[in-house]
Amino acid sequence: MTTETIQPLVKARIRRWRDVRSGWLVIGPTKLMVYRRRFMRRPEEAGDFEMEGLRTAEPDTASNSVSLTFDRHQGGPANEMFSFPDVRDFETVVSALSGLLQAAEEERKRREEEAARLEREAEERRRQAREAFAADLWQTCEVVWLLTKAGYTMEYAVIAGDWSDARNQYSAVWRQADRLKSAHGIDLSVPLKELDDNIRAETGEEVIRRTGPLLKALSEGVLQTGALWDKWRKEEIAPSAMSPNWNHLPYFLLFAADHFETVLSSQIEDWAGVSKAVSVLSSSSAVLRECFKIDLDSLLEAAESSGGERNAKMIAETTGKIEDALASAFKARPFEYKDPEPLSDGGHNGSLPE
Amino acid sequence: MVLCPNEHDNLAGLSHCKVCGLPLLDLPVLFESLADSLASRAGMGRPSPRTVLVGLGTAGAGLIDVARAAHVEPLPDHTYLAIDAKGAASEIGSADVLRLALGGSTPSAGTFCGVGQALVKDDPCLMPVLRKAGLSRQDSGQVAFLVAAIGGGIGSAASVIVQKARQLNSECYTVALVIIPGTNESFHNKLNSYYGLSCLLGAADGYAAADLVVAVHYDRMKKIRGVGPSAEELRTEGLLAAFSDLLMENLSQQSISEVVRINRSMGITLVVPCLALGRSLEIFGNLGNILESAISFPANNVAKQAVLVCHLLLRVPESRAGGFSEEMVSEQLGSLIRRHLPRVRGTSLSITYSAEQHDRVDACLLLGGDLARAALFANGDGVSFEQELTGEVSWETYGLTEEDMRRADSTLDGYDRALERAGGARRREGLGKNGPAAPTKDNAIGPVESAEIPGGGPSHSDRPGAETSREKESSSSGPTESQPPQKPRGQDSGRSRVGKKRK
Repeated sequence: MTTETIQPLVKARIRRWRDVRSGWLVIGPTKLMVYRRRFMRRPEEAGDFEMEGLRTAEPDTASNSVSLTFDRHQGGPANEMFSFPDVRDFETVVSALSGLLQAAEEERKRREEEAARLEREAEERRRQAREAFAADLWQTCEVVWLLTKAGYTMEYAVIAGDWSDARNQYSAVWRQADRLKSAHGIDLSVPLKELDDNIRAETGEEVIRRTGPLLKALSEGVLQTGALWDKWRKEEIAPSAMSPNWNHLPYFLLFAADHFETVLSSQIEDWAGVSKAVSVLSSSSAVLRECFKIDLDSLLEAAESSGGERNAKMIAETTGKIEDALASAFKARPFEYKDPEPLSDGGHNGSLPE
Repeated sequence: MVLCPNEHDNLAGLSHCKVCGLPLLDLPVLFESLADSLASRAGMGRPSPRTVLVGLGTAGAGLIDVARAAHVEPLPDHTYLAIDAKGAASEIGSADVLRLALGGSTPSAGTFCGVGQALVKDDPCLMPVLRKAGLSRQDSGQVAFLVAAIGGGIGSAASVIVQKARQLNSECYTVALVIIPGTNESFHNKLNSYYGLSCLLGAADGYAAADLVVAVHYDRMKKIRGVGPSAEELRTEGLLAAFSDLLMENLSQQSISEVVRINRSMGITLVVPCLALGRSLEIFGNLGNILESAISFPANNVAKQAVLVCHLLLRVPESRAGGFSEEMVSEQLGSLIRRHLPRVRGTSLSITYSAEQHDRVDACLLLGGDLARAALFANGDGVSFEQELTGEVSWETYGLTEEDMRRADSTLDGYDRALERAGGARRREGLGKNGPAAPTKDNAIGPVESAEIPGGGPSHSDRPGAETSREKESSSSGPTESQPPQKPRGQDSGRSRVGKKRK
């Protein structure tokens, strides 16, 4: 029982409430209080109810009574019956309760709408974060793809003695390496500087020798997935919920390197090299299908068969189609989001990697 | 434990994730392998060497090693490549020699021409290794120099290397030094060389034939002697290596283009070398005697009347360069031609100078115009070969079809008929479809089977007296007797002095 003084909205006499035979019902802004009348003494507080819990008020004009339903913190709803000595008190109370109930309903609706709005905004933020995540990932994939392509094309240009193209491809390697560094801090400047002098001096043997360390440095960079996730840690995107995600990036690089290894091997008619590269390509393509939503199975079958037939023209055609499919994916940036699954046997807990 | 792309833990040894089914890939190992593949092509980025020396088959590959070992350092602008069947291929030798062990599993791969040709053609590593040897870009200054004993199954596939070299650098010159099997060798060796030579002389798969085929006969090579830079006696393999070294050095891009130009004008691809390697000026006295020595020792069957072109390759110690002016050499060559080769219409001359301190001169006359079949069957064994050929032969055993053999026949026939039309190639009594009968003293250059070189070796060949007598013998029976020495027809217009360089 509380003794705080409340400013009444309505004060009405009651004839009966529970065991109170005569008393007062005071309806305040937050509470509904019942006072028992005592002879020659101050009325005694007999009970109170939080107005917040009031759900319904059913008046009975025949008996000048009103039945109120309150939500309780524990247990089910509670019914309270008040009867009034005369119609005036009854109508005053019914009118006040009706106004309060309506106001409460409006407040509830407002709060629900506010909660829904906040939820919508939060969902929109999460969606935008997921899209930005996917965009960042796909952009990185594109950079990795272009960098790998430029590296392999540079090697072919050197083999073919086309130094003009070799220099162009080297510039492309630098541009993509810069993008990678600024976006994710993957630093390829050491192997690139080693290439610099040799490109300038057109020492083909050394240029080709140093493309190996360049690929190795790139692979080491993308294998550090923890660093890639850092940028997205505050967004709390669970690795298991997003597909593709940063854990898949090394597999994308593997696919890219193998693809261009196939192209280069077929250009120089290294059929043992084609066969080796195509077999790895088939393995990594499963990751592209499941995680990156790019289905290249039929094209890879064609590449495998062309490799078996040593048909360089067909391989060039097929690998060209694979590159077209990748170019479309870089534009569409497909991704899949699913709510993280609870921890299960063999699974992970969906938290960001340390 | 192994992580899958979705980071599910898996036991080591599984190929796919037990949770999501994605493949379990060892990324660091795969990246390492790709990086190694990229870097392993470094050889393809070298500047194009002037000469790519390729040895095919056991004999050819062995000669490459000998040729490489002849110099302390690899010759500048030269690369060496040895190709042989797996198992037969030598894995030891100079690290400067690139090696390709052909990956066939057929036991007869090294025996029969059709199988050997398929093995060479289908090897998945052939093109990369040719690129690593330096045949990777268009370069008109490059010469692909091929050495092969074409009686072997792998060696008989020399034309495949010619085709691939043209595919990689359509502007390069292709020269094949081929060793024809001896008379006593098996039918299949002769069939291999018959088929192998036809492929070298005929265009195939859209690629032209070899630019120059230098054909030596094994039996003849066994009888010729020479002297090496360290005064060592050169016999068969050593002589072949020294000869290939002379060819490589003297057939520079400039001189090969001249040789080929002159040859083509008369439909000639095949030439027979006459060798005088390591002839001492102190013993022989002058170039005239050395050239006489050379023409006395042809490395294959060739008839004097058939010769239309004569190219002289000469290597002289630099210290003796003063005595070998172009004019003098040219005069001596003209004199030799007048004496021995009445129908010669084109000549060329290539002189190089060695840094050696001795007084020995290497001379080689490349004579072209005689029949291809004459080079194949130097000792009249063509008739017996023809008889075997028309008998019951299972072409399949040799990896051939009847169509292949018809094509080979047709190519050799076509080549020989064109030479006959050009007026050079001989028609002898008893010349069957597959070559001439045994050569006689009347028309053959140098020793014939019935007149083996007495004593042989440098002890004989270094005696000027012996050469003089031979010269007399040759003069008395040759066309120079019946026809007074005269300037060969068209000689002036065809003569060319090329490739003079200092080493």
